[in-house]
Amino acid sequence: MPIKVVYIDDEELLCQIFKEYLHSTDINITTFTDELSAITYCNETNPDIIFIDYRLTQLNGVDVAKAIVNDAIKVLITGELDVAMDHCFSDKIQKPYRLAAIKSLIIDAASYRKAL
Amino acid sequence: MMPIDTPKHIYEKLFSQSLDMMCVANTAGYFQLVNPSFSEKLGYSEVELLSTAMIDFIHPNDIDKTLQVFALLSNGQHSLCFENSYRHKNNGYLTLAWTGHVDADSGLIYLIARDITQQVKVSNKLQHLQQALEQETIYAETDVNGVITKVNDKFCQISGYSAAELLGHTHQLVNSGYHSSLFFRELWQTISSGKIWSGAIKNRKKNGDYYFVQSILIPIFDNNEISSYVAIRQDITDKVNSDYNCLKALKILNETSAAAKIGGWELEISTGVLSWTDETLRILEVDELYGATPLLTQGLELFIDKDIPIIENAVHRAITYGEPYALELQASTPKGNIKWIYTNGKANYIDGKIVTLSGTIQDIHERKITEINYNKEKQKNIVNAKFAALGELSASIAHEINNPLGVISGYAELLQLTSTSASAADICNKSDIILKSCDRISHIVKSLKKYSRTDEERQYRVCSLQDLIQEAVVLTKPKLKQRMIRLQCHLIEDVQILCNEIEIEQVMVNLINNAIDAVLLLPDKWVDISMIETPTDYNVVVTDAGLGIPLDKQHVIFEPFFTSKKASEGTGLGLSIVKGILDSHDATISIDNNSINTRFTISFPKSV
Repeated sequence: MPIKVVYIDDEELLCQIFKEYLHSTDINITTFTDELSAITYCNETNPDIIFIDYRLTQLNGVDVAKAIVNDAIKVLITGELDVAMDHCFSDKIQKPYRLAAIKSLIIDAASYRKAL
Repeated sequence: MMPIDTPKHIYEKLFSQSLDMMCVANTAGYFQLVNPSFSEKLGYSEVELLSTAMIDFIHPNDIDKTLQVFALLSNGQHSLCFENSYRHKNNGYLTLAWTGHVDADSGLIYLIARDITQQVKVSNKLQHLQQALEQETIYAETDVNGVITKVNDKFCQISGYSAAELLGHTHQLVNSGYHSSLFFRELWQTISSGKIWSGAIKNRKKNGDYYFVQSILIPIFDNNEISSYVAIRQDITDKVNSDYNCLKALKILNETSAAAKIGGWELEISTGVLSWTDETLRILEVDELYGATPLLTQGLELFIDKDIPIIENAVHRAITYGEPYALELQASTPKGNIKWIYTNGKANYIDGKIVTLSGTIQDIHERKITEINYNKEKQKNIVNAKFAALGELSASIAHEINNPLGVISGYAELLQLTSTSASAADICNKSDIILKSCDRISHIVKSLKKYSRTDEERQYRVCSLQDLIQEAVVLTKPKLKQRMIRLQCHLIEDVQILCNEIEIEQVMVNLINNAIDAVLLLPDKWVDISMIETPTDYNVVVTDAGLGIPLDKQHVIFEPFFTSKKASEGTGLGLSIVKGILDSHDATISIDNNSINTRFTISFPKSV
């Protein structure tokens, strides 16, 4: 079973990069620039890890995370200088991030989840 | 022993040598015999005298009187004594005092005349003087004890007492009680020792009012002893009162000038002599004048070196061309203080010629220092506000930079990952995206560049108003986006204004930031910026979704430190700085109350 990863960012290019870099047989990437569709999708499909950008079009990342009611690992992505971590996130990644680092984070998280 | 002459000789000598004029006249009115003194005194020869009727020598005014006297003689009177005027040969008249008698036997008249012209003149003069004094002055006479023996009407009028009330009393009756007993003692000592006393005396009228008289008290001698005193006085009540009023006015003026810290000065051009009022001395902290009259050069020394040529030039132009001036200068006082003063001057003409300069001098030190501090503070506030705005912006700008940075970094990683497999087109495509992202970042950085300028000089350049607004929009866009506020711009191209671009951009950023704060809690959040051209102005209109500014707040919102926000949210300097900046650009900002929504209109006059 590939790891199901969702990336939500209103920056279209970042979504593309994410997909291009990380999509593989082991990792199944779905990206959204529209947070509302993302919430629906996540609540329906129950992904393993969800990366949520803080600044979105209509809602912020915290609101989105709270709207997704499952036990997926939620990681906050932010380009802001200072955003408080909400407890619903297990991690926070500062933009600009390294895709290599994201990849290892996904792998670590997946093995952690499997170990559970 | 005297040699005895014959009686006849004695009479002849007496007749021929007498200084008195002797003559014998007949009843027909002719001289029969005149002594030499007649010719000497009247200038006629003996023949002329004897051949002319006596009446022809007499002054026309005295003819009747003389004829009457002679008529008495024919009526049996034996002697006569009278005065009349005789014509001198050279047309003048002599006053003669005659005595004479009639010889009953011969009917001849024996007469002696004495020239009393001088005595008459003197006594006439005295008489006129006496008359004038008694009529024109307040006149009184007293006996040696000071008891009033004579007063004139004027005395009665001024004192309010009748003559009957005054006579028999001393001047104690009009004593006002104002003068000391020493004053009167000295007065009495002076006149009783035979000297004239003069001075001003305050007296009291019968009705209790006071009057002032300039008095001359004269002791009158009779046989070397003082027999009486004459007092002549002049009413000086009006003068004293007007002097008093003048003094009072002067005192008030001095007090007023002291309170207002305004002094006066006058420069006499021909001499260079300066006159200063007391307050001028106080302002310049001059305790003592150099001699009685300071000169212009000495006045100039009271200012700092830098200002001296400024005053010299202004004074020179005032003297030469009559140009008025007004200067703010720093005085360097004798006490070693440096003090801001305001002084103005204008030329005063007499017969079309500039004769003096005069003006005022004012202590403006406190105001000036406040003004200087205010300007410093204002400058500081502008800088502070700039940093505050920058701090606020940097947070949201970070996001705008980090996103394209993430894109750059991501594609770089992708390129590394696919370094061996990627197609040329793919590499081109990815590096193109990287470059575009770089452009995005540099565009944002460029709009921040102005904030990093530290030039103290305020520079004015011709700038595109549209560009300035757009750059302000770039700076505020992240914040607008973050708060999900719609922004619409309706701008006009090619509008150039002369301005300090940072400041005008600051104005726009401030207004947009205010609009953002105002609409934050509204359900429908929008800000609209438009440019409108009128015949005289270019207007920039910033409208937001808010519902206007309460009328009672409108007059204070442009004041420093007014804010409707919480202490942590705003300094209250925004709109005051906006207004300050626009003032210095001759532009205006106003609230448009005709709009339902909150609308500020900035007008840049086209002429600037």
